Amino acid sequence: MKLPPGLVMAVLLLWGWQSHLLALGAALGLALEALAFLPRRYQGSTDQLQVLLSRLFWLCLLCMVGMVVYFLLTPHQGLSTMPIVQWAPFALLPMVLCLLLSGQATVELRFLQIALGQPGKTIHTTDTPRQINLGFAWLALWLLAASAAKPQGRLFYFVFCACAGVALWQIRRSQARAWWLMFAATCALGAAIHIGLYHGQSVLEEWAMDLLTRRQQEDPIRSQTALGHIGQLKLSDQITLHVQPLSAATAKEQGAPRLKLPLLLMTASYNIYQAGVWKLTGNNSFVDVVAQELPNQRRWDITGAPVTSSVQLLQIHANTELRHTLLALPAGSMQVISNTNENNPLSHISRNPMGSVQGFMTPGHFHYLVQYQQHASLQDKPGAKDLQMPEQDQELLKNLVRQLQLDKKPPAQILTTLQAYFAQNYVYSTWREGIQPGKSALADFLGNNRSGHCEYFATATTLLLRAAGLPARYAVGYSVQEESQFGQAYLARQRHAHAWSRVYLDGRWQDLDTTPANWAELEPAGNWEALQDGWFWLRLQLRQSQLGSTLLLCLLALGLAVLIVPRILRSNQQSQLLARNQASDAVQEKVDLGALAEILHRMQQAGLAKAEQESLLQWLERIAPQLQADARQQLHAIVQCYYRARFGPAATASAENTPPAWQAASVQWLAAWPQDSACIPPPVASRIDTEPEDNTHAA
Amino acid sequence: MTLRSLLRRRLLVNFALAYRLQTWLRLRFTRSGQFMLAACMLSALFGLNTRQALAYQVFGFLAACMILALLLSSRRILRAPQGLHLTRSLPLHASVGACAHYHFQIRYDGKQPLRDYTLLECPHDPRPSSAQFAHAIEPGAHTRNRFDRAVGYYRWAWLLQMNRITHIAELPLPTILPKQRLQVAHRFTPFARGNLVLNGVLLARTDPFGLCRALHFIELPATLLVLPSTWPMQLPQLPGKRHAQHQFAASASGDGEEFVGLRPYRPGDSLRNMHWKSFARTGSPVVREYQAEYLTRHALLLDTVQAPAGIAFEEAIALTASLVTALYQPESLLNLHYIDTGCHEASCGQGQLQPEALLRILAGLQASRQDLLAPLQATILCQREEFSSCVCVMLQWDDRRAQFVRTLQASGLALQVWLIATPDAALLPAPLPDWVHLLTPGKVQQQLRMHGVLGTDTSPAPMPDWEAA
Repeated sequence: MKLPPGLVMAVLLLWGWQSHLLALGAALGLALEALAFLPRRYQGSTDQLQVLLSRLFWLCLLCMVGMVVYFLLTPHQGLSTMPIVQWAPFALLPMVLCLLLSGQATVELRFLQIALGQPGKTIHTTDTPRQINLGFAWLALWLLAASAAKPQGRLFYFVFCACAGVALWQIRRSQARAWWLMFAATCALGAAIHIGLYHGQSVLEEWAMDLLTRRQQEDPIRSQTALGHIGQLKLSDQITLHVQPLSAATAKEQGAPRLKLPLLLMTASYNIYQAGVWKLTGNNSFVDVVAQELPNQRRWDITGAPVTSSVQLLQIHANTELRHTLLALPAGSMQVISNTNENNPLSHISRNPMGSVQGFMTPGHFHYLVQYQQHASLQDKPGAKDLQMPEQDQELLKNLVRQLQLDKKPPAQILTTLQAYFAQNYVYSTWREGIQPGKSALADFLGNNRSGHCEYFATATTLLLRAAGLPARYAVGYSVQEESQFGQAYLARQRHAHAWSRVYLDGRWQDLDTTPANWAELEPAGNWEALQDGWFWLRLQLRQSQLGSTLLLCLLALGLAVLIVPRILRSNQQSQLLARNQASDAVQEKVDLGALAEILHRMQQAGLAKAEQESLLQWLERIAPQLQADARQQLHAIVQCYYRARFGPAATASAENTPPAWQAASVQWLAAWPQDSACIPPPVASRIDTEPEDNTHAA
Repeated sequence: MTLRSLLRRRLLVNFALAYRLQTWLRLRFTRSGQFMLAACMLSALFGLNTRQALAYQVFGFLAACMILALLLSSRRILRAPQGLHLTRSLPLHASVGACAHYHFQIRYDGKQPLRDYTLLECPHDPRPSSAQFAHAIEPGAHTRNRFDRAVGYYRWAWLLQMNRITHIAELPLPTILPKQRLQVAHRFTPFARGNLVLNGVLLARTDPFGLCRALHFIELPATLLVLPSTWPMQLPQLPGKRHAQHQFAASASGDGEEFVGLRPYRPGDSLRNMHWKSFARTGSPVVREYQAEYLTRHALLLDTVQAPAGIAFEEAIALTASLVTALYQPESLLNLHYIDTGCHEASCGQGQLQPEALLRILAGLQASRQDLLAPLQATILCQREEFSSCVCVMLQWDDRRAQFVRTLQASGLALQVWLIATPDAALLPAPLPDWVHLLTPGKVQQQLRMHGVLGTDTSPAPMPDWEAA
């Protein structure tokens, strides 16, 4: 097995660097490179080497199986194959050492047959045994092992290209210049492919997430968080909610009031956290809310509290593909109103003790009005579960509470302390590196990584509040913080989906959002956002108008009419023009023929009619055998003259000033050949027999 | 149609498709290219999640390699060289196990030197037919498990090898300069008998990385007969008795001394036999005709009646070919009786065919499903008075064959019987006489050596110089 000097070292250094085992990689590389300088070599024959290799093959296989079993049984590795790939080249080390010590550049693959073959199983031919250089295969395995490491930096690709380039140089078959050109092109194309793949996966994930969120409603009982998710977390720019603040009945006259942003609209809240999942335990059943039927309105009082003058009103537009969905409501929601005279009103609603409200409607676009008041509370009183913490992270949370002295502070100060603590020590990020082995995602966030998305902040805050003795819940929904470019309204996009804490303080549940305030700015908008918004607005306007789909159909019909009617008109015009041209041609011909028409008429009577599609010359050639020679010649001259006069270069000039010559010639011809004298009379059998002279004369 | 036959047909189609794919990969990609392709697929597998590992970057590079290599090796970019003329000179015939040498004559009238080209022989499609697949038995079939027997992959692989006849390696061409004429030698070793049909050659050139090949087909049809392998057998001299030759008589066989009559001169007649008096009297040449010489005739019977194609059949052919080589004597006749589409007979020696002609017949012999045992035996029995000895090579043993052998023995013929069959199969239908040499399929050479009729040298016997003999 012969390899270019230094290549083994380079590949092993790359592996060591990627696996955080640089020393091991360097040492092994050095040792393997040094083997090339060893004076003593394996002295056995080729057959002995093959037998030895076949035995070592089993040893390698045993090592590989042991490695696989070890990695599969190691608890924190799970079922990931990457560690196996990362360490796989070590399993082949015995065979590689043997080959390096043998000093042979290539080796037959016969040892595989010896190792695996049974008598009579192999088909023997007298083919020349295949010799291969196993060294390159082994190096390729090392490179693959190096690539099994988690992504860190961009240098890997360049180092890999250099190593692969050295290997490719060894097998090149053409001139160096062509090779270098192709290598450069390969590196560039390879970079484009892998960058494309990386971004392609983002797009695919985004699309899949969109698809899932569109098809599934928020689960009011269970919320699977993305805690521990490695890589980029990205949601789409699609508008989910269109929020319009209204002020009682005079909204249109006075203009819409402005909202204090950000506004949190909750869809569900949960009370138990277990390994990345928030759950609702206890009484989780939804109970129907009794509707109050009013003229053109249906009203649900979801808290039972009296409506005061400080109530605020929101109109929320949303879309669903299901028959029921969780409604996004602001804190302190009191009443939900649906206009029954508009499209797709809510049929009924139900609520659970955690404050989640479920609306029932026809799938599609729907909207509802919500009245809310700052100090009203939709949720029930806290229970023991609102103070429960996961066992795994309990110690860490209590330490943190002690560290922040939360247990010694009054409740109101706890909230400000926590808010300040997260704002100062933690950063918002949708990108996540791997988690330290043996640690939970929450512990990694709190103690090590200190960066994460809203679910980390909400979970940590909720659990810290509980550790500090305050009942708290985990809430999910949307954070409205963007004004619409079309009309006085606010938007909540899919990427504005948010999680926060709710803490029971002063006899009511209050929102506490410790996620850094700039979190929405850190999620960049897509390139087509403006276009999407415009389209959404247009659809909304159409739906809001009384005509709705009828108007849309009319618009479509109008558009089609605009496209089709001019074409129909144009084709009509063309056909009319064509008909007119044909008619004028016919008249022109009739007028122009003049006396020639009389000749045609006479010939028709004689049984030599001109067919409609025939030209005069064609007709004349056809009837020539039936005409007297003189009459034929004269008629030919007349037709030639007619053609010259009508189609010749001086046709127009001569036609207007002088009478056509063929007219006179035609008149003369008519006079010279009265009736059917121009025609040859048909032969009569008896006459031929009795008067042959006449026949000859006629000819 | 049973489920089994349906399954077998489906498998055969799949094998054929797999072979096509394999051939395409083998031709289109070099060995390095095949390795790269495998590495590319492996990296694609491990690099599926770009967030988890860097394997996707490896995949990017390898995929770029393969894409560019495929593009640059397309026939539109690497065009066929203009003005290249190739001819192939094959030997008259080749033998199984013996290296055959041949060469290409190359004439190049182009303007640019040709570098890095390779020649690949393009043989006839070796995929076995369904009938061939259905009736063949590959070596070691009885040792395979039920699954292997049902799937029949080993049978397919063996038939493919048999139909391929040989593997001709790639031939790297040296740099060919404009207006240059050169001859390039090549060689191959056949591993099966039969007609080696070559459709043409593929002129291949790789991309700069040496991963993919652009292929240009040059039509160069040729056929070469590969004779069966012959082993150096040392048989004891067969007893002979002189019989008058009848229809086998030829002018070149030598004359006797007993005058038979006069006949008109035929070209080739010796002037010594000219009867001048008759010539003078009739005006046309007349020669004296003498009684033909007596000679010895041996019969060689190859009984492959209803024998399946397989290792036993091939070894019976090889044994018969070796017997032809061993029994041939210029002064005696050797009659080969065999079956193909019918019952046939061919003779060599004493003015008849050369033994090489018999080997040619054996080279093209295929297994027959027809029951032609009776006519084959009848042919021998009818002529038994004219034979001095009879050597039988059989693949089956039953009552009919036992009766036939006993009849031959009773007629006083010197008899040798070689039976190639597994001992169990041979013993079941009829008792086997002691003097029948039983040989086990797959071990014929070893057992012949044990019988002392085969030299220790395992390499195939060199083809004797028949003309000199």
